[in-house]
Amino acid sequence: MMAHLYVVESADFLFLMKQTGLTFGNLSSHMTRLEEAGYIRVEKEFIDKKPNTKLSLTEAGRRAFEDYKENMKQIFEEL
Amino acid sequence: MGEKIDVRKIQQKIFRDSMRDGVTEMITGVLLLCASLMFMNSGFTVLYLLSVIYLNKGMQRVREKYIHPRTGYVELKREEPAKTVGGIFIYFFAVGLLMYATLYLAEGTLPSSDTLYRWTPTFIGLMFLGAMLYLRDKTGSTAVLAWAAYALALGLVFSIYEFTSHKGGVTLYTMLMGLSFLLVGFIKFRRFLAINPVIHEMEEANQHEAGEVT
Repeated sequence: MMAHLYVVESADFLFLMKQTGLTFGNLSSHMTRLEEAGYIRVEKEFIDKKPNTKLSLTEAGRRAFEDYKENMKQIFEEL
Repeated sequence: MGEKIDVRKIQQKIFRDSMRDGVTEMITGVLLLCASLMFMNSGFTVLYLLSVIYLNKGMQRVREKYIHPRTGYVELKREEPAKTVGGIFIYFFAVGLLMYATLYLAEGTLPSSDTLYRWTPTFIGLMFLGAMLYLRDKTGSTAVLAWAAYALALGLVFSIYEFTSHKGGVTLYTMLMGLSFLLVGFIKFRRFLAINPVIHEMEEANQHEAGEVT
């Protein structure tokens, strides 16, 4: 989910569900945890009277993901 | 979390998925058809300019109404406008200059407007080649190059063939290309709607709460 948000400006809940293959419940729980950690920004709005949840990475989330990528790169290089 | 994440591949997949709806092809088709009308009669220039201005808005509306309720909404990464526009202009002028120089060398004199019109299909084909090379990089799919090959091959055929009217080749070329894009776009669009049902976030939430979705 973080990787998907890293490469776009923002995406809604439905888009992330389709792209990641996660179920509503799974994605919802990821979303809550990442929002609590301050890594993602969640905006809820209504489009044509239907609820829509828009997500985007915060600066802290972007930095955390870049650190994670760097760490993973080092681990794979050491293998 | 232990797997290596290929960010570029994710980005390419997202871009590729955003092109599956056929809307871009349909818009390109309409633009080319308007261009063919413009070549047929310069009175249609206004129509062409209007189509360039308003089709982007129309494309957004179609996506909001038919695509986003099916696949969700994504705002792709913004590219630096100066870099993108600069790249397009450099490619446009480089190809134009190269073609002009080639025609000058081949004919021994400065190319006439008839000659320039005659070779415009090849020029447009080369523009498509540039656009599709860019798209291949963005989507990671080489399938888009089929459009480049088609546009360039057709451009050469329509440039080599001698039409009675100096604008005949470019008019027919843009019309045929426009119809091809429109047809392929429409088929893709219909297929997209058929295999992607509308999903509402609230329905998903209700199903989840009712235990229908795990």
